[in-house]
Order: sequence, then C-alpha cells, then structure tokens
Amino acid sequence: MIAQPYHDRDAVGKPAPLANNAPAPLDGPLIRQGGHAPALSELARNYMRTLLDGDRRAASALVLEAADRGMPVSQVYLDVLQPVQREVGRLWEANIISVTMEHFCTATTQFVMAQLFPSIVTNNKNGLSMVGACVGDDLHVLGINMVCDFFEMKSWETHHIGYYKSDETLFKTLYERNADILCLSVTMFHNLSQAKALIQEVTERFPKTKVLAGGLAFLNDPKLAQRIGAHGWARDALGAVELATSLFRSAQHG
Amino acid sequence: MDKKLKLRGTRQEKVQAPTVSDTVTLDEFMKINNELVAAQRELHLTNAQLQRQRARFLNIVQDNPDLIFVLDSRGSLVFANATAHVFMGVDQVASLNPDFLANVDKEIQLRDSAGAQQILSVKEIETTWDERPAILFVLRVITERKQLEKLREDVERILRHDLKTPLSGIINLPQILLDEGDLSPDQVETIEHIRDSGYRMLRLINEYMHLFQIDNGSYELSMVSVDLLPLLQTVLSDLSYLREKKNIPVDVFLSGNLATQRDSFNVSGDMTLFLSIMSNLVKNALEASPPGERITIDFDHNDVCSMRISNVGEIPPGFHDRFFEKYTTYGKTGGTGLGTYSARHMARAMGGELELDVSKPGIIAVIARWSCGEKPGV
Repeated sequence: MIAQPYHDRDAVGKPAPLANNAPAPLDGPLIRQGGHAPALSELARNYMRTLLDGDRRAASALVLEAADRGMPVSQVYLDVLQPVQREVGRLWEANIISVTMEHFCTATTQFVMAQLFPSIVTNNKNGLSMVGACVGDDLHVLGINMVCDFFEMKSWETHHIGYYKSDETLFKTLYERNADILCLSVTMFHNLSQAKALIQEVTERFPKTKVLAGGLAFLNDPKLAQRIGAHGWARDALGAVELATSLFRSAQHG
Repeated sequence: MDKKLKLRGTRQEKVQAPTVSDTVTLDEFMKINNELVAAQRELHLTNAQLQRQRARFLNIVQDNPDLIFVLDSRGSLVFANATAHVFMGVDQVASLNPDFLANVDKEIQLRDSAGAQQILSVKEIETTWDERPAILFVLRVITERKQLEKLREDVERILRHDLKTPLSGIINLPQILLDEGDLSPDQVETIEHIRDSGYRMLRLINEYMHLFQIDNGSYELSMVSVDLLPLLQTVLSDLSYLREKKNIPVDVFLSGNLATQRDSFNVSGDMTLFLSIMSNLVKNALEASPPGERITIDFDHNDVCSMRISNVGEIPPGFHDRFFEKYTTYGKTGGTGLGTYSARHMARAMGGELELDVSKPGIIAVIARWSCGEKPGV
C-alpha cells in the first residue's frame, strides 16, 4: 500500500531488487533509465536532478508550477513524487547517495505535498473516516502521508498521525475519529510482530474498523498482511483507496 | 562551500559511513520534520473544517427568515443578518439607531423596505460577541399571524354573538307559542321541530366554539366525575329522529351485561366535552349503519374506562389512517368531516384517546378510553 522511497517496481508491479549491485559512479548519471525501473517522466527527472543538486526551492517550484498549470495533484503524486522517492531510496540503498541526501529529498517532497494539500481538501465528505499511521517508531511516514492524501481526494475524513507514541494514542484517535479504516504502514521487518499484536487489539476493540496493511515489509510477500490479521493489503496509495472503497461498497450491498 | 557542494559532500560521508551520533541527529531531524508535516496537515484540515462550519453558520443566520441583530454592551449594532437588510433596506440598517430595540416589549411595528407597516415579535437573548457580553435580538414578522388571530376573534364573535343571539329567539319563541296552546297537533309538531332544530344548531355552534377554544388553548377544562350512561340517554334521545328514520336499534352493555336505568359508569372529565364526543360518535355510527342493523355500545373498565361503539359497515383500508382527520368523510353525504376529528380532539384534551377498530370483518368500531373517575357502579 505504502509508496516506498526505498524500493521500486517494474511495469507489472514486480518489486525491484533490494540492492543495486552496480552502483553508478558518483560523477556519473544518478538517474537510472530503463532496467527494472519505469522511465521517469521529464518532470520527474528534472525534479530529481534539482533535488540531487541540493536546490530545494527550485525543485519545489518545478512541481508546484506544474500543478498550477493544471497537472492534477494525483498525477503529481503518482508520476513525479512517488517514482522519484522510490529512485532516491534505491540510490541510498545502493550507497550512491548518503542518508543525509535521502532525508533532504524526503523532506523536500513532504514540503511539496504540504503545499499541494490545500488544493485536494474536499468539503463534500462521503461519511467515511480513515486514520493512517506507521507501526512503531518508523520514520518512513511519507508513504502513509500519501495514502491519507489519496483518501482525502476521494472525500474521506482523513487523519494522518504518522508514527505514534503509544498504542493507546492510536486507540484514542480511532475512537475520536470513529474510524472506518485504519491504514497501517510497516517498513521495517522487525515491526511485523508489533503490527500483528496491534491489529489484533484494534479488531477486538474496534470491530467496525477495517485494517489495511501496506509498506515495504509486505512488498515481497503480500500474504504476510493476511497472516498478521489485516483485512486487506494494497501495493500503493491508489490501490488502498480502491480497496477501502470496495470494502464499504460490498458491505453496503451485502 | 555552496549548498550543492555540501550535499555532494554528503555522498562522500555515506561512503565513509556516518557516525552513530550523526545518524541519531538525522533521525531526530526527520522526526521533527515528520511531526511538523503531520501537524501542518492537521492544521489545514482543521482550518478547512472551521471554514465549512463558518459557512454553515452564515447560511443558517443569513437565510433565517427572522431579522437578527446583535448589539454590544454599549448598545452599538455589531451584526445584522441578510434578512434584516432585505426587510429594512441596506441603507436603513447602516444608519440604524439601535435605540429602537431598547425598551421594546414583545412586539414592535416597523415599516419594511416597501413601506408597508409590519408587526414583529421581539425576542431578546443574552449572548457574547468576541467574548464580550452582547444581546441577540430576533425579530419575527407576525403580521399575517396577527391578521389570522383577528379573523379568529371575528369568527368567535360571530358565533358567540351574531349567531347565538338570534338563535335564542328561534329556540324560545316556539316555546312561548307552545305554552299559549290553542294549536293543532300538526302545528305543535312543526313548532317543536323548529325549537329542536334551534337546539341542535346551538349545540353545533357550542361544539365549534369548544373546538376552537381547545385549538387556541383558551378552553378551560372542568374536570369532574361524569356518569356517561345518563349522558348517553340524552344523546340517544336527541338522535331519536335518526334512529327511527333508519329503524336502528341500539343496545347498551355494561361490562358485558345489558345496562339498566340503575347502572352508572363514572369517568373523570369535562361533562360538556363528553356530551359532544358521544353525540358525534353515536351520530356517526347511526349515519354509517345500514337501515335496520343494530348498533351496540359497550362500556367497560379495566386499567382504564372504555366505551366501544360498533355498527355494521366497512371502511376501505386506505381510509383507516385518515378516519380521524379533519374534513374527512366516507360513505355519507352532507357530513362536515369534523365529527370524528373533534371527538378525538376533545378526548385528547381530557387525556383520553380514540381508536378505530376494524379487526372484525363487517364491523366498524370506535373505542374511546379515559381514566376512570369513581369506581364505576354496576
């Protein structure tokens, strides 16, 4: 479900290798063309080059101006921010860029999303509510942020809490928001057991709340989501919204 | 070193492996960044929600058909809604001297923007404006209501005075003629018919009056213990012309046994209203019943006292729910459609209830229930 900054997928959605065995030389081309990664759009390539040049303002301006010219925000997310963040993650994992650069790119993309967010807020809500969170102390909140934004675009009441201090904080939020869906992002494999316990308690305490799982931890084996008790799994933000919508549509028709 | 070089340098750091403290610092930076991002998102959603609520509030206040003014504690006008502006005119509101609201009673007269004199009710509510004490004035145009009230008063006056006064002549003069004697039997019958018609009209006018008074809350109930059996005798006597015309026998039962002159059936209520209710319901049953069929009236008392009036007949299913509605009649011509409506209205005014029972095919039954007064005599 979660758009992963560290991994890529090919045209049919197959996850890319976790590591790149042949890192590009520091002075060579940083953006991979072809191979396992889908080709980046021109805007995405420019955004990434500007990011890697360290020019946050110019990078943000590129994307925001495209949105101003009429590019739908969903397209900005899916065609620019998501693939660029995946490529950034791949470069970091391949030791081509530093963790500092990876954090810089992530923070800039979060800044761009924050600037775009006002234009996607919907007033006509569909009566459904969702909460998005990362399990444990995971710092990789950009993906779940993107998921929440896609739900917002589809007229859901959304609440992005990123990571949370304690399970009780999350339960309080689920109660206050009367959540229909909890989207849980798990990036680190060592958080899976914590996610399983959390899902079990959520389903006991909030029977009406459906839990959707996503994130890097499930990309190679989506059945893991089912094994830890989630009601569903989605590869990315768009898939998560579609799955959630279908869950409630079938509930209404059932 | 420019920014580009600095960040390029971070690639070198990666190659050289960052220290633990560098990683912790970076993670802390990202945590703060993430929290800020989430907080900003939430702030924007909250702002959007506030804007929606503000829009809702404004729609409600501006579209409210009442004129709404807010005066601060110094008596200055701080808010007037769109209705006030339309009613008075924008210029007049802008130059409004709020004193016109000071010391007003419950009603006020104002000219609207078209120059017509209007009557408005005034409601004053203490409130706050920007956390300071203020007064909310709600003005409602009641000109039409006042005109309707005037019309009702006129109708009441007409019923009470203009109709009832000449009716006393129609009722009393025949009696004088009868007392003087020297009349042929045919003349006596005719004069008695004139007198009795006058009485029926008087009862009808009184009934309308009571209904009107119950509607506007001015009827004063006189709750006493009332014996319904003698009242029923009066009603049956009054309706004897209809019974005889249609040859309809009426059986009265008390707790399953035929009632006798010695029996009584006391309930708590207003005698005048009971008379009207029984008159309406019995007359309704007589009119609805086919000629020659029997009507039964059952008095009973369990938790409450009940009277059940049954006659032969059918009511179409679609009519059941409308049986007690105003101006609704079925299967007869010339009815006002007020009989069952007024009966239930009066029953409810005394805390009772009327129900239609068509569970037995071919039988129409109306059941009246009230609280019992003294223990009914048997």
